[in-house]
Amino acid sequence: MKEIKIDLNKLLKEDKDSISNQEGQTKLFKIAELISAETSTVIKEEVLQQIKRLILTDFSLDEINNLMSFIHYSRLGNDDLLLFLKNYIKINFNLGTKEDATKRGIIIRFIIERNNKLFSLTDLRNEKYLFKHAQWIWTDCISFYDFHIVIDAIADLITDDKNAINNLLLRIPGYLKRFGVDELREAIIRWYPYILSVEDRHKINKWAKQLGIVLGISLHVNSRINEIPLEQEYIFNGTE
Amino acid sequence: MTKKYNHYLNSHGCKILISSGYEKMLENIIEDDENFITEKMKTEFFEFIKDINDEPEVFKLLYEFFDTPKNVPFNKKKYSLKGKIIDGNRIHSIELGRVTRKSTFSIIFINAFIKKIPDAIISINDSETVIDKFLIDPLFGTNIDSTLFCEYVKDVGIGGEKIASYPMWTFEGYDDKVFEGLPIKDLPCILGLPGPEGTEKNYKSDKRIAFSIIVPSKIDVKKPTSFDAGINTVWRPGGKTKPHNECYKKYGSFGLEEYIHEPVTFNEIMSELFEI
Repeated sequence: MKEIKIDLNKLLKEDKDSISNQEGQTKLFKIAELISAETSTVIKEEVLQQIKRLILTDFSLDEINNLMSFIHYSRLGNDDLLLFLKNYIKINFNLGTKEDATKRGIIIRFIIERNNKLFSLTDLRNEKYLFKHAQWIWTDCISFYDFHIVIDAIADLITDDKNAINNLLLRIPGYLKRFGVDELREAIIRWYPYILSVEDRHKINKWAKQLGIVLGISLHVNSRINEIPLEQEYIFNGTE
Repeated sequence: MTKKYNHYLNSHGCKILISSGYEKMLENIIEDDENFITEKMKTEFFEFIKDINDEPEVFKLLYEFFDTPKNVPFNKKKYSLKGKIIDGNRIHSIELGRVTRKSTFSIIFINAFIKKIPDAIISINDSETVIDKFLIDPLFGTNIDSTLFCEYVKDVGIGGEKIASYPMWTFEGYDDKVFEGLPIKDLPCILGLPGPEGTEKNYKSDKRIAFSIIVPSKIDVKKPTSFDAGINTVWRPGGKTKPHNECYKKYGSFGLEEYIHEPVTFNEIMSELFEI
């Protein structure tokens, strides 16, 4: 290993975009790869200690995201570190701003993806700022506990968020992996009446089909038309 | 090797690089075409490291050198993308191949969203899951439409985002369709891609993906230089890729035309994502 002296803070703050090779790998993730292959526990422990010393409140969203990806690719995300991160956010990222809530959500999701026993559904329901400001990340977290809550939350998001379908399409492969085709078919059928734009409906149909989810959506539209809120029913009928 | 730089090879910095196995990198710089990597640029390189007597410090300085000046657009960089421009329309009408680490591609995929919709970005796990959904094993083929991934990135709203935040290395195949007749699984060896230490060692250590792109005419396609290759012992000047020794018996010293250019967008992906 050529770079024994790893200054993680500098890597994350200053060198995160330094080019490492022809494939576009950055120095930060090259180091992650080296650590992942490293057998010396001394080096791994040193990097773990550095992570614990980082003052994450100084970090931008992109740096927090890079740190989580760094831990992922260096395979340092053990329970000890996850607990450390959990304790860290008990006293940090509580300001109630959108930025703080998003950073907090990225860290919580990272922990839950690796060990969902470290948070409970009640803990997540109490994450008011996360729910208010970064609802997609909140739903990602919830999806490790109860998919039905996710289904309801996304139905609301489809109504409120202009990027909802893009954000949903991004998540469908992950949901498919976690819940399977049948659950997702039911979920999409539930969401479908809330999708008002014809273009968005086409997108959902297309990608459901491409990902192996057979919706039989025309039947659904007739059978569940009564569930559609009135104002949506008007638009829905007007466009069909 | 050009003798005019010989005296630098005895400097502390160069001795460290030579003893660490990076002699070829120095040779590449010395031998590189001075119409593009000029004598002045080479001298600046050797002067920059000559007095450094500490191995980590030399590597740290090299990263700085090749990225000088930091945080400026690529056309303002002093040492990168200085190679010969490929003239004519042909280069902008054929598919070029790109091989990258799956991890790098997953991170880029997330980063494409971070400025657009930061409060809704997906995790690195879910990003990998998305990429996995579109990966195709080239040995078994598929019925999937070659443009499916491209359509997906357009539909999720990142078609116009850049595939990389740094210059992209690409290569030309035997045919205008870059992967025609190429053994895709062997590409890391044929292309001589480096392992984590910038050498041939462990070059297969990470999962990679391959895809093709068409470079729009507004982006200059250039020949890479030793300064583009940076800290690297596997690259060779001459404009063609240099296969690793491991596949030398199978493919000989035959290499493919290689290029470097500013990043293209996801919209320019023309093929399936092949799993290597």
